[in-house]
Amino acid sequence: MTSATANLRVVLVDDHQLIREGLRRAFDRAGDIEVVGEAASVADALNALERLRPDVLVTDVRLPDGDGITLTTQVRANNPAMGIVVLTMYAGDEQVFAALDAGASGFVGKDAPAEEVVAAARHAAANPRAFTARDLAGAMQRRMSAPAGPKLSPREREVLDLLVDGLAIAQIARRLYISESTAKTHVANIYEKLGAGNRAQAVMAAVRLGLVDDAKRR
Amino acid sequence: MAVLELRVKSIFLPLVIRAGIILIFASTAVALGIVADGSRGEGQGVSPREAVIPALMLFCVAALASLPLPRAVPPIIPALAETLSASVIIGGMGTSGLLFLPYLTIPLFIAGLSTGLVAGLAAAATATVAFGGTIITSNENRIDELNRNNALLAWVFILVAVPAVGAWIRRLRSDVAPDSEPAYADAHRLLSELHVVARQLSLGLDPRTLATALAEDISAVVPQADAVVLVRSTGGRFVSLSGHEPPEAAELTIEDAWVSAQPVKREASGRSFAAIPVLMGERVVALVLVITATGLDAASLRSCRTVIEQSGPRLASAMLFDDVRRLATTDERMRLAREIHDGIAQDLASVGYALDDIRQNSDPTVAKQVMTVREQLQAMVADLRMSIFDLRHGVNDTVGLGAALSEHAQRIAAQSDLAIHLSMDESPKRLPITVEVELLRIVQEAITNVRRHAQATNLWLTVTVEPPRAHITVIDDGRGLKPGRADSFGIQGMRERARRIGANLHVGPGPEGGTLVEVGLGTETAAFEPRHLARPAVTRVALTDPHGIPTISPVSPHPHNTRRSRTASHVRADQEVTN
Repeated sequence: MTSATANLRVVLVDDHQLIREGLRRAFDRAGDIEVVGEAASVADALNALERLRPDVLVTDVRLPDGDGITLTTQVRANNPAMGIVVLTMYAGDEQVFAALDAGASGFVGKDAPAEEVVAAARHAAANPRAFTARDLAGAMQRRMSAPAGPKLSPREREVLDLLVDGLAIAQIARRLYISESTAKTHVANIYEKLGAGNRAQAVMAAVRLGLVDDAKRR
Repeated sequence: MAVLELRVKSIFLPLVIRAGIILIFASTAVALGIVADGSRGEGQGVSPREAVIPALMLFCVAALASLPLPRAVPPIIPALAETLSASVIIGGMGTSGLLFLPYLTIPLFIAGLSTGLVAGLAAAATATVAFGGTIITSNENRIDELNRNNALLAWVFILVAVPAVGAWIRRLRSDVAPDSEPAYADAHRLLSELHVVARQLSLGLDPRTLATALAEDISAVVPQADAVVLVRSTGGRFVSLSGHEPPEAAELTIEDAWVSAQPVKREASGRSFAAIPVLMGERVVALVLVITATGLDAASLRSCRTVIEQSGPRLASAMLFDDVRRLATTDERMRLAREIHDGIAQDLASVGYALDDIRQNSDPTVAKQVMTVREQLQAMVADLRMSIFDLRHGVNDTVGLGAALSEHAQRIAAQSDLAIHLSMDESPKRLPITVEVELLRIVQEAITNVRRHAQATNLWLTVTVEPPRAHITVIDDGRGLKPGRADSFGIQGMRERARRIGANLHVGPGPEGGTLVEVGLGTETAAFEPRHLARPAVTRVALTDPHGIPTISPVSPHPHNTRRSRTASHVRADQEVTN
């Protein structure tokens, strides 16, 4: 639902020449869109963007010298208003979310008709910071329902409880009838799983993740 | 002469030691000689000249002996040569030779240390004979001279004792690792076996078989004990490789043994547990839990450890091989994915865009025909996208079987006209990753078969995972198996995968037409209960959150319509997330 009256200027990035040609024809047919540049690599793309300052960048994900997701991140950092459409042969939710996180405006699979790419480009020009993708809702739902967070083993949970209580390693070892080096290893594993560097961070992380169990007082 | 592969060994240290000894003796001899010259007149002691020449000759011998030799030359040969030449030189010196005699201890010690007692004594005998012979031939009177104070006899004794000491040290050193050579031999045998296995591309070294054998060996040694072999799966959970699961009460014992890499014995809930780690170097690769009613005595524990030390390396290698195979397969799948992605998939996509162009520029009747072709092509490219995805993704450390399967099923449902009814009952414990990989591939293949050949409307996927058991059924309401499809390539592949993980596979007609594919791991494939068909299908995905609270999310809002509503999975570009 674009309200653009002036010509939209588009740069196409894909290492496959026939794909670029097909898309260029689709954009030409649209009438009010002009493909001002093409590139077959990340380096060429950055050059072309610098020179041409288009309204919309349409980029493939897999490129010979890098990938379109990284390119998107780079471009988005300096061009908050540029529309960016990520076009890919890759399927899967993580691709969609990678494009979303990189700051793309749209995500289109290469199986979709060329008109869909054109429509995504129009949308991107009008709302560069709003993301569209087919089956976005499904992907979101799958992401929400995925189990997350680190899993601690039963023994690690016990050690964590004692850590939270402020016990020293030696006390923890005595309390659980294990050697001090074993207790140390458990603590190191807990830190690693929680991404903590010390006791305070581990306790913070445990509280944040709801791993600390007040009912479990033995 | 062939190319000498010189041993990487410093020449300096042996040379410096030898030269030092020679210098000490030579200077001692000279000093004694000077003292003797001053006090007792001639006939006694050594003049500097007399000491320097043999010393120089000994230097030459020492230099030659210190040269590194090719590996193929047995160490006794240079030791014998050095002994012989040094004996002749020292013997030729007569009285002053006594001062240089200690030099002989070097090659003799080396002979004893490198090749053992017999060879060392042979070298000592050689030295004695050569030394004596040289003295006799050079000057007969010297024997008496030398034999004053039984010096010669003492030296003969020393010459015999030195290689004996060397041989004794050699024995001591090899006692430290008496089984190192058998272990190497065993490892080598194992490697050849692996090689054969790898070439046959079947799994002769199956970790599960070996683990079961190990558990049986333990029970044979300690009759009243029950043994379970465990490995740590991804996610830090312990999985039994040998049939049954360990009791809950043993969990902490197992974990402590794993973390400390030491055997741990503990009593819990009326039974006694001993957890013994299977080590590969420093790393714990598996763990044997021995369960007894009364506890293991020291002797039984020792014999258990002996059994584990013998069979452990084999199990560890089998697991390693499994891992290597998995990594190699993953690598190859990635390569295939790249090839399809960069080649045929892009080409087809570009043909699709060309067709879009033709369609736009043609009259309605032609456009309609082109549209049909375009839709077929879109389906083909979507299929390739899916194949690329499946080649690139599988289960890994963070994505388990359930997550991978439900994502796969949901993507298929979103991109095809097949309504997939998923019923998932997955334990938070995970199967070994190699097993998960094969199960995932079997189910993917089954779903692909349905999608391509069955012309089905509905597909029921039922997954139950309760390590070490798993049971999966894939049922469709399509046209059923056609003759000749039962041993088609896809099903053949499924059978091979199932065999590799010791699972049963059953492919046959479904309960109400269509096809049934059933995989059972650790269970007989159970007879299918048609309750999933009788009831309106409700997609239930039991997921476990980090706190262990199972959540159930019903996704099918139309109980009377088995054709799943497409609202959730087919949303066009009219939804937006503002970032």
